[in-house]
Amino acid sequence: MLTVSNLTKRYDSLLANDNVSFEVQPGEIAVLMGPNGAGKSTTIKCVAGLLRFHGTILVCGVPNKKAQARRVFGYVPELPALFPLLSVWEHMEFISRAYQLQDWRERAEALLDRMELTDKKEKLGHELSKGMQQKLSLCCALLPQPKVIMLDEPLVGLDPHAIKELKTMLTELRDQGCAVLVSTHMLDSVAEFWDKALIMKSGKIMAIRTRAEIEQSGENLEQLFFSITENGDGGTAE
Amino acid sequence: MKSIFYLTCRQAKNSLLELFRHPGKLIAYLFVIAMIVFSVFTRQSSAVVTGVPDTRLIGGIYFFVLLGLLVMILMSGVKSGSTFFSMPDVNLLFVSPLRPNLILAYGLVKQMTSMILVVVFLMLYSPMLMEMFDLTPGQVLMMLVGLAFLLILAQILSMLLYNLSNGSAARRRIVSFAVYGAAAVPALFVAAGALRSENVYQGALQSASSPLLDAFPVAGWLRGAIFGAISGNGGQASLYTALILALTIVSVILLVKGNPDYYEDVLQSTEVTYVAMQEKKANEDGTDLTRMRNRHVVKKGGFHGGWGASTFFYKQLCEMRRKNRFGFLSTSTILIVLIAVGMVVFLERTSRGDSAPMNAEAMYLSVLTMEIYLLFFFQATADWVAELKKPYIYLVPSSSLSRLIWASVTTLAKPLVDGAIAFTVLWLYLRVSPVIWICSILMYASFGCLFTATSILFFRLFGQPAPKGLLAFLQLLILLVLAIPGGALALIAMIALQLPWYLAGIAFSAGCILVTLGIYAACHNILEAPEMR
Repeated sequence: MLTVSNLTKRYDSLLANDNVSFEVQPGEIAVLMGPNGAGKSTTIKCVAGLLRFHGTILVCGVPNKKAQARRVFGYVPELPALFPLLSVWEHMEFISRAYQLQDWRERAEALLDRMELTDKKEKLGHELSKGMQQKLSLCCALLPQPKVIMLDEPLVGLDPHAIKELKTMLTELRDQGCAVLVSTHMLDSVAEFWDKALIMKSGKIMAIRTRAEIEQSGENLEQLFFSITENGDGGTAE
Repeated sequence: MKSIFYLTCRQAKNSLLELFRHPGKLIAYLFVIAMIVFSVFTRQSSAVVTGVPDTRLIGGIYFFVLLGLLVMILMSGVKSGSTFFSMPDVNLLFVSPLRPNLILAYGLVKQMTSMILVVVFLMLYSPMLMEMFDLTPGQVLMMLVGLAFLLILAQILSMLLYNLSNGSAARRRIVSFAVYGAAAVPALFVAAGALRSENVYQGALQSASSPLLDAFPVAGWLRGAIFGAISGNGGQASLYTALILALTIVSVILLVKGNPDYYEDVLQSTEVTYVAMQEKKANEDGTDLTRMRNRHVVKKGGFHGGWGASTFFYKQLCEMRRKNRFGFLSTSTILIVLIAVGMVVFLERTSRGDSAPMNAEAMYLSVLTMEIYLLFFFQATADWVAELKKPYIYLVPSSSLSRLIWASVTTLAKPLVDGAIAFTVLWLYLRVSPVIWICSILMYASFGCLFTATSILFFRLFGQPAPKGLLAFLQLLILLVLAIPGGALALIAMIALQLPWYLAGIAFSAGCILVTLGIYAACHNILEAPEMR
């Protein structure tokens, strides 16, 4: 479970996140949406523990910067960050050793297979195309079997097969009880599998809606999104 | 014309405003400039004017530095085109209805601006030049302006050569031979002068400072102009200044008139530069990827160790093996050995004619000092600095201190290995006491620790481990502060205990190690509170 309470992040005079609060329950896929400059990436980086912030971020009840929290946390950055001089397989080995994983080889093979990277195992990080780097970055995040996983624009740069596989993987993770947070501004790409929508604007969470709420009220997610982001109104964070 | 003027002014104005938006940066820049001015003018006021300085050595060095840079830029131009345009220029200006020669002029102005920054940066070395060669600040400034001018002219010439040779492998070969052949002439001239003379060094010096070399196009003309002015020879200065200006004007006219459609010529090189910069930004880890391009098969894979935080250490070992098969023994090791040997040979030759030639111990100390100075710059590409650019160092579930320590083990060990090799070679050559040999290795390694500690503290304070440009001076200040305990111990060893320099150096090393341990302890949580933008 991921809990973000009163997250505030300021860059000099710019208030990038203003008292942001939300939760992602186990077995739930939450999508963090918002226009460019809404503060999504800052939120994501704060949750990943890459920025200093005010407020509380808990991963399975533990502050996100503690080792216990990081052990069960996976992160796929928007721009794949790979080691140029390590091969694909060595990235898997690196993660297994750094996260102190046992019996990881079979899982690593399966992940690479699903992402069609098996024949690229000996390729170095810098020899991979951007899409392949993105796939490998995803494999690195999934190898430790995280209980909370966060993906920043994960579908950008992937080929249709990888997009299909990733969507299947996300739903599988949800079924296994993982809390999934996906940051995106491409509404169509997450339409099939989202459970909770977090809509941000100007550093604030402007609305939180579950799929059930949307379906009950007859509200349309896309209309809600545009009413908030373009008219500056339309819903409150709950 | 208006649009180019607007673009130039806006960019200049926004750069200034950007500085004012970051007052810390502004203060740092002002501080550094004040330091340069202070060091230059303090030296000037304390200098004793002894008349016209002996410019033979510096004149020779200056000529060959200019020649080396000229050949490098020309050859890079012949191979892949040269450029002073950026991708925004290509995407926004080249497709616009602006006249090509106007855009070229804009490119030249931009290039000149960046060259001014190069001159400011090189001004940092002016006190050293003034001290060593008895020059005034004005004379050093003239040399730096000459250097900056060469960098601009060389790029124009390389674009011309590219135009000439583009599209034909045979023409490119001919141009390459011509450039290398022409550059070999002054080198052979100096070598012949050295071999003809009984004193090789004096012979080389005499030839390198010969007025005949001033007649050599570009590098010689620039030296003739600059050193004519330095030695008060107005005629020589005017003649060569006129020649160099005429060449510049003719080159620009040829470039614009001869091939107004130069866009294609600069497009490829601009793209290559852009891609290289993007890769550098993405990877900013000091890895020379261009050397790795053709290696597709990983023969020996795997980490062979590592668990939790120690995985970073084993990963770095794996990356080292991949860069070169000897692991710790890298190109920098060879460079350090070559510098040590080269410097000793130079010191031996230059002091041979003196009434009191340098002894082996003094030469050993000089080389050690120079190697330590260079080590400071190698730290910018240290392994632990590269780790900070990827998210994993912040995500791995181990304590911040253990991650910091394991990520910096290779950084701390590399100077020890490099020092052991370089100073063993030096010791065998100079035959100084084994105690000096051991002490020098320890001193070199301990300076590596001190430099790493400085980077860690700088990262703690400013969120970046290796500052770029003039801000590096702030890091230098931190280094000086951290060196105080070691310095105090060394002073006690030298003054109170009357110990020789190398044992005082060991006292300094002990201080460095203690400071390093203290910095690790004080900054143990830096990976828990990062600010990775």
